[in-house]
Amino acid sequence: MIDLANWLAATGLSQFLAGNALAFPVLELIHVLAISLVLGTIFIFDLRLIGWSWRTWPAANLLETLRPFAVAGFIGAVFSGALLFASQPVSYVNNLPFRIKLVLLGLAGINLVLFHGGLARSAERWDAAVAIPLPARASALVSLLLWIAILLAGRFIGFFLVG
Amino acid sequence: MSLDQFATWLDATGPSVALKDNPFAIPLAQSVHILAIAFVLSGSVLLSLRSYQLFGTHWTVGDWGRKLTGRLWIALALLLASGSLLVLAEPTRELVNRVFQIKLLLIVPTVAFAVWLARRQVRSGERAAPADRIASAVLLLFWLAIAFAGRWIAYV
Repeated sequence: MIDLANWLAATGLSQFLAGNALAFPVLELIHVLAISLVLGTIFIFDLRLIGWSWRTWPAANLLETLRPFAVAGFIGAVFSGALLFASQPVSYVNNLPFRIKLVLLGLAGINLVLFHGGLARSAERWDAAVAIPLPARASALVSLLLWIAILLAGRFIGFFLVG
Repeated sequence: MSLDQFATWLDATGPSVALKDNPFAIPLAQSVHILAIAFVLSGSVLLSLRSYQLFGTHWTVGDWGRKLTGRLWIALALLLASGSLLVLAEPTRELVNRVFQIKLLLIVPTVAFAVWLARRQVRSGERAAPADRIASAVLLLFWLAIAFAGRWIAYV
């Protein structure tokens, strides 16, 4: 990974991002806006599944309605995040909160695969009257906690950067 | 006492020093701030799209308005609390910062505008009034301007 970071740091893209005064703040802003879409919609859906809020809203419809926003936000966050990473790849690779954030994102991905791969099989029947199965509710709680942790890890990256 | 002197005085007070000395205080407050921003911005996006019939038409504008407005109040309370802590922790970075001052000036009318629109939205039915549609888009632009200003405080 260090080799990859060193190679990336030498590319024209990285040099441009590191040298341009506007590039970093603009990318950060895009990153925050994209994260807003991800967190804002995932929170609604997770709280609905856990049963803490939105209880009278059929979960199946809510999932279908909100998914495009979560997906679009995530794609935006990955693109802007990758470019932020490319501006100082060596610093980020050696940054503990950044590494923790990547692990947490991986865990969130596994949780998502488990949810859509099995736990949400009966989802089309999850209307307001149906009790959500416990494993799906547990998965939603894990998702909620992981996304909060991802936000925290992301915010700590800047405080641990050297050079 | 000028604003400069006030910021310098606040910077040296016990609570401000305590926040600065704790390496977790500022990033934690910033994380709460960002989570609340996510609630405000995403809620504004969803309500505006719903007002234009582009999203979530299973439910009425009023249904979305009631749920998202409830969340908006929680988010604004979190923003005020976390934002106040951040100013207290670094008054010389914030209070005398021109972009921070512009941000504060934008927040007051925007929150008033949001309250006005929310009261109309929660009473709406299947369709938003034309004026409310435009207002929802304008409100989103104001929230974006505030988020933009907030991010720019660090760069001036």
